[in-house]
Amino acid sequence: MKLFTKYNRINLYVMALVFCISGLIYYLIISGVLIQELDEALLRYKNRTEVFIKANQVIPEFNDFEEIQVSALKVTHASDKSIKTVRMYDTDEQVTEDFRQLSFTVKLNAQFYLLTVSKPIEGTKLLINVIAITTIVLLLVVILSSFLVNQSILKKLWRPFYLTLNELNGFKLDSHSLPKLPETEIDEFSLMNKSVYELIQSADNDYRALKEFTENASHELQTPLAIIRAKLDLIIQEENLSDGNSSALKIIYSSVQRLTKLNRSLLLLAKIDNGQFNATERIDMKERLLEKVEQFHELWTAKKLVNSLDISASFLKGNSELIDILLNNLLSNASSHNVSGGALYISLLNNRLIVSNSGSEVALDRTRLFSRFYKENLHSQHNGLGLSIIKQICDRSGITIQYNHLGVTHSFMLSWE
Amino acid sequence: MKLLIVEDEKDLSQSIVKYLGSEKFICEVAYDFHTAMEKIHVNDYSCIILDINLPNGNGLDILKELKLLAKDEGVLIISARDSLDDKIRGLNLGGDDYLAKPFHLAELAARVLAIIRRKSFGGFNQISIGELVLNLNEKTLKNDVEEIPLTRKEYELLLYMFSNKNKMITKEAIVEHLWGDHTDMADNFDFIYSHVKNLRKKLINAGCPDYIKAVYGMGYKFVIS
Repeated sequence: MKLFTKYNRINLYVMALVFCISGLIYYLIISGVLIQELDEALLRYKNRTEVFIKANQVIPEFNDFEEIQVSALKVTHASDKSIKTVRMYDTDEQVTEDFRQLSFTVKLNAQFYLLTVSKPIEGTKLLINVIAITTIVLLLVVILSSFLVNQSILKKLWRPFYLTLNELNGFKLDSHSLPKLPETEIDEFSLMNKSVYELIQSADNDYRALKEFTENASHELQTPLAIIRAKLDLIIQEENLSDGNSSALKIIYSSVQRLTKLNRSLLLLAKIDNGQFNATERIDMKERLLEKVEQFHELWTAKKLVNSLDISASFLKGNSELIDILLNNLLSNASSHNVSGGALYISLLNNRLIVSNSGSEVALDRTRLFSRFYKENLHSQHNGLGLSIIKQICDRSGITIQYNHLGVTHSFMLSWE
Repeated sequence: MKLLIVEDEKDLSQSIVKYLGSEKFICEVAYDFHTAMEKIHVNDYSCIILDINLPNGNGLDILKELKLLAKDEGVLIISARDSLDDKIRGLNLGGDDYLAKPFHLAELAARVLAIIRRKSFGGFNQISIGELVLNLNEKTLKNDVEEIPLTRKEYELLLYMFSNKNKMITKEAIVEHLWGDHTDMADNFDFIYSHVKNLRKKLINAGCPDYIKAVYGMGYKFVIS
């Protein structure tokens, strides 16, 4: 829910409540005042009656009082005057109405008379109508005005906030540029922007430092690796190594080889991250793929893989070197994770490349598939970087990659615009 | 022929000297920038193996100096900072080839020989070993009588072995040479075996002695006296 919608909704509820309560209070106050006025009129009438009785010594005739209904009853004893609201039938208007009724006793010739004076409480209905209409109209006015205020003023006030939000939305740590947060006169927003900017800056620095660390560490490893390898290359030239030594050397050699590969892969990832492969060109994928197929052919024959190819013309705009590495990795994977005598299927059609191979019946873990150092088998000779390199290159080159698993067939589908 | 190895890591440069040095090659070593500058002014080399990151200076400046001196030395750049920029700049400044550390000494030897061949024979050359003649322009192999048909990979493998004759080349080095850095073959080297076997068979069928020997199960050696 948008901030304004939420705000408007709360505002509406509160306003409605406030107006209902204030309407009720108005009604109570105004009707109170009216009744008091009525009561005073009735009391004035009582006084006038008493004065009249004292002067004339008769109970006055009660015919001609407009609206006011008066009755006199003979009673045995005096009672206190009382004033109350009753419902009575109004003979003039022929409806039952609320009346304010004053009862008092007068004494004339040792006889008590109970005089009752009733006056209709007029205008209450009108009052309620007026108040209700006023309340609703005012409520509408408030809603309308707050809507207009939100539209113009609030939107303007919150503009810097939304600009910041927009900038942050499109921001990625590896994008090489920090977001441009808008200048604003509002203290809260400028404080927020400052904090956000500092946060991003420190995250960016950390990220950069981490990346540089990986890159530097890999670079620093190159020289010792080069020395170890060179020395090994010399040792294995010796004519008379013992069996034990030569088998130990064999293991050392292949371990150094793995280390070198790992290092090279890490460096490659760092270099892709650093955008060192930004130059793009139109690449004839068919030509490239056929080239690779030729390269891998002997390997497939050795593994007795049944390969089927379905390759038609397709082009891709990307970095030549990266696409080369991508195809190498895809085909290497499909070959080395294959089973002896398994199948390998490559299809290139309409900007879509599918590479499938036979493998285990268990699907790869989709959530971790492309993360670094992911291995299905912990003791695998692979360094677990192949797929994350593939993913990284796809991301850089605008290629969508999808993994599918059906039966014993694992396939990767790459598609691009 | 004289080679100059400009590399500040003594262990590495000495290993290179030991591997490349033979009655055919005399290797000189420079451990820093100034020594290297001095040597290129005084001597002529068939090939210079040049590290870019040196104490007191940058290997690329040595390349520039060579250009200024109008010397026609072949230069193989080796660098630990395997960056595309370095590579492009090095090659633009007159380097002949680029090899990232760590490398196989066999690969280094093959590259150095390729540079020397290009430089000294003007790109038109052939190598003969025993009764075999490898024509580098046509990429063909002939014995006295006829051409021995080789696949592209077999040709490359044979040339690689020629360049490292009497040296053991590991299967890993062969894979990297023939299929490149970023091919992840992991533990599968069986196909190298069948590859070598085919090449060996072709050579023997053509009437050659069995030059290719398997060593320690680690690799192969092209043995010729």
